[in-house]
Amino acid sequence: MKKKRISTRNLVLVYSVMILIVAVIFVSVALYFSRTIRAARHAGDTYSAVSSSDVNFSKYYVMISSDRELDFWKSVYKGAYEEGIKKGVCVEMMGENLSEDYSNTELMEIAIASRVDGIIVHADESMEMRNLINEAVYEGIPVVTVYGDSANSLRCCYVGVGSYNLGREYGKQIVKIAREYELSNTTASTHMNDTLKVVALVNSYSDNSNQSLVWSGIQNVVSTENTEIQIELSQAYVDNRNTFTTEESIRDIFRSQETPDVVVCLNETDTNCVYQSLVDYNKVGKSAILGYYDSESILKGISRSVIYSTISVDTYQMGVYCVDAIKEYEEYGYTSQYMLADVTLIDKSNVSDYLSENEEVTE
Amino acid sequence: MREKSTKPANSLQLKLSIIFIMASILIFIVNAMLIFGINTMTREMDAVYRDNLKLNELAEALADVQNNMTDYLNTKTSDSLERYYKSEQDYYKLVYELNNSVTGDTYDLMEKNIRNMSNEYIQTTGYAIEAKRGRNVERYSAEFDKASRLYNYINTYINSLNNERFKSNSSNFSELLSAFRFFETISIVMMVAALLGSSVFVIGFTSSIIDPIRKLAKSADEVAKGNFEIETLEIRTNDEIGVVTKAFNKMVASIREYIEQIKENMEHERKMQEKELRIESTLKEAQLKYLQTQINPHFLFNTLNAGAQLAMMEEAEKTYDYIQNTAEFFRYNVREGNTTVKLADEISLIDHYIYILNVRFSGDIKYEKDIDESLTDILMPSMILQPIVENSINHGIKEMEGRGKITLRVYSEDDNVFISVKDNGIGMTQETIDKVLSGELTEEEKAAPVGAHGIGMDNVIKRLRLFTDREDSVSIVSEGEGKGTEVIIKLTNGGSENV
Repeated sequence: MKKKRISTRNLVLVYSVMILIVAVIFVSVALYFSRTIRAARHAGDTYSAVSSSDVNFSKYYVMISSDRELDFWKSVYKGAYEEGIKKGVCVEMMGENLSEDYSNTELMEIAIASRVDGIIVHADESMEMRNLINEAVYEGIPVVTVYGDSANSLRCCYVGVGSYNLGREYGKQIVKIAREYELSNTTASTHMNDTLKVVALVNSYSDNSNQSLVWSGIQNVVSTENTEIQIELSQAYVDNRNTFTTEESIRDIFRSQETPDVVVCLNETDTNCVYQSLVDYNKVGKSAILGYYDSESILKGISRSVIYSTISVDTYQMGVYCVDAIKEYEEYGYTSQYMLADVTLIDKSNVSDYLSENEEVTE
Repeated sequence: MREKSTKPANSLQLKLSIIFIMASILIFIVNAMLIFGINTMTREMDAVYRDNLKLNELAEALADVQNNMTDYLNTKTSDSLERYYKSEQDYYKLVYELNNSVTGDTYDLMEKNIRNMSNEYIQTTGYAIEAKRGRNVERYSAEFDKASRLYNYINTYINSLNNERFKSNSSNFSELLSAFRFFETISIVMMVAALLGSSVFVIGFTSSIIDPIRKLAKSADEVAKGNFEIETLEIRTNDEIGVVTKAFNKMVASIREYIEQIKENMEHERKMQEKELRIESTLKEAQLKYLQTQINPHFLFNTLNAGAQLAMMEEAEKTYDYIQNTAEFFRYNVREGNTTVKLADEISLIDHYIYILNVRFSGDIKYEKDIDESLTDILMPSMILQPIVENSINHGIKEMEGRGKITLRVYSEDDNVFISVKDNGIGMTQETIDKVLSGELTEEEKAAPVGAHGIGMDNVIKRLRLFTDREDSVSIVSEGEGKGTEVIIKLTNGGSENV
């Protein structure tokens, strides 16, 4: 009889509890939704790892390079971006989100029209680029050139690798190869050619002083070092006017000419193309590749003995230097004209360090 | 008036109101939450594409500016100039709403770029228009080229931003959609839960109200059928039903009490009637027995009267007295009807009887009276004392050859009147006394000592007990064999007068 006894107070209590439960469920659901929506909103942020939305930015710099998809430039951008966050500057890789693929000069125009606070540009020695840099500076926008310079412009700083030193490094590698070649010649019963053909790939349509500096660096070393084998240095011109010509030009070299003993590549794309061509034409071991940059595929090429050695540029450091240079210029009105990033040689002996490093990074 | 002052604390109205209000509140809350949720969802969905709409508007306004400028540069009509200024104003307004601060958000940065480029663009178109007016062909075509380039850049930016926003919004949208689905499921679950919950509680609560009513109805039905032996209903609540239940319980108890009382009264009445009937029937029995033993009392009485007159004429005094006494004695017995007589009448009957016996047995029986004359008016059944005396003579002193003695005493003690008939005869054992008083004497035992009238002691005792309504109205005392017997009749003084 007692079980059915429900007093008014109990009933009100139970009802209140029910209402409370309903309210709590709804509030939690609402919280869940608002969180999901907020999370979706933040999907637009570039680097979610470094929560950029928490930083108060005061300046807006852009980085301009038409090769932004390469690991090389990604790494440079990363350096600049992270340095920017430290300094309260938002650095954007220009053209990344655009539907159209603009050239460096067009991007420069956009940047100037957008009145950004600073421009980091992969420049060249063309007239057009020089004028644009000058225009930007007239508009009060400091310009830093990176990796490629426009020496006669009003840019405040050039950040890059010491091209002459780079050339010397290549030269040393060439000499080393020559010595190894000699050794194999003496031990081998058949006497082979006594000249070592070295081809350096140079871009035909960029008036880049770096290339010549590298070239002279190579020449300098090769001429000073005495080798029994004669080293024949030559340049091959690679058409880089538009997107796909590089690859075609390189394949042409391998098809038409006699296969060189050493191929010197001065950028990441060239290295990759030569590497692939060598594999495709079954000439692995016949040519030694002196590569550029330490991307994953290049490092793999070294470990597989397709690429002889490569030059690793501290690209991250380059990015950092760029931001530092503009910041310094803004503060003091001047900055050092040149900033050089560290360069390291990677060959079979130390490639494993870089490979594991890169793997760690990708992990 | 009283009900008003003791209004139940939890009235039925309050309870019912609580049920309905609570249920309504629950449903209201669920609904409110649903509406709120749906509103939020709709707003979010709206926001997803608002940005895209804005950007499309911007692109259209930009195209207007470009077209109008081109038109003016082509035709130089004031109409197109007017349109140019208007579209430029519109575009400027739209551009003004764009973000102008540096944030970490790529889209914000793109907006900022669009804004800055647009300002540059508007300026450039302004220069171009100005140059056209000034007919500076070289300049206006240069400015036009620049403006066109900027126009393309801005367009690309707007399109890209639109695209990117659409991409991220689409993912937003699909997430929103799944959230919406989830919300839908939750809502349905909640609604069903609320429905079930409130149903359970409404049913539970109403049944807690209805149950006592149902029990009350059942009990009332039982009572209507005449069954008052029902359990008292439990009063659980303090509301109107509780009050009614309490009243019902009280009513049933009262009815039961009244019925009990009526039954008792009826029983009493029935007993009284029965008693009277029994008294009458025993008397009738006594009279019948008497008549059976007499041939014709009236004839005898008349005969005796004639004898007495004859004795008078012959001047035989003693004979006359004897016949007269005998006649009196018989007359008493043939009286019509009176079951109740005065004690004095009974005593005079004894006197006659003793006289007759003494004549018969030539003065063998000594007869003593010790009577309180104030008590002789008391009423008692007739034909009581004579059988007792007869019994005493027959059983007690018949054989004593002139030494027998009967003592009749009437006295009162407290409210009682005692009539004592004592003999000095053979006496009785206690066993016999008990047998006589309980009426267990066998026919044989009774028959042997029965006198001329044949009315046995058991008849006398029965009648006396009926008359007085008490068991101790007759008692027999004997101290043992040969020591005599005393029969004591106990009457209530005045108490029997109304019988």
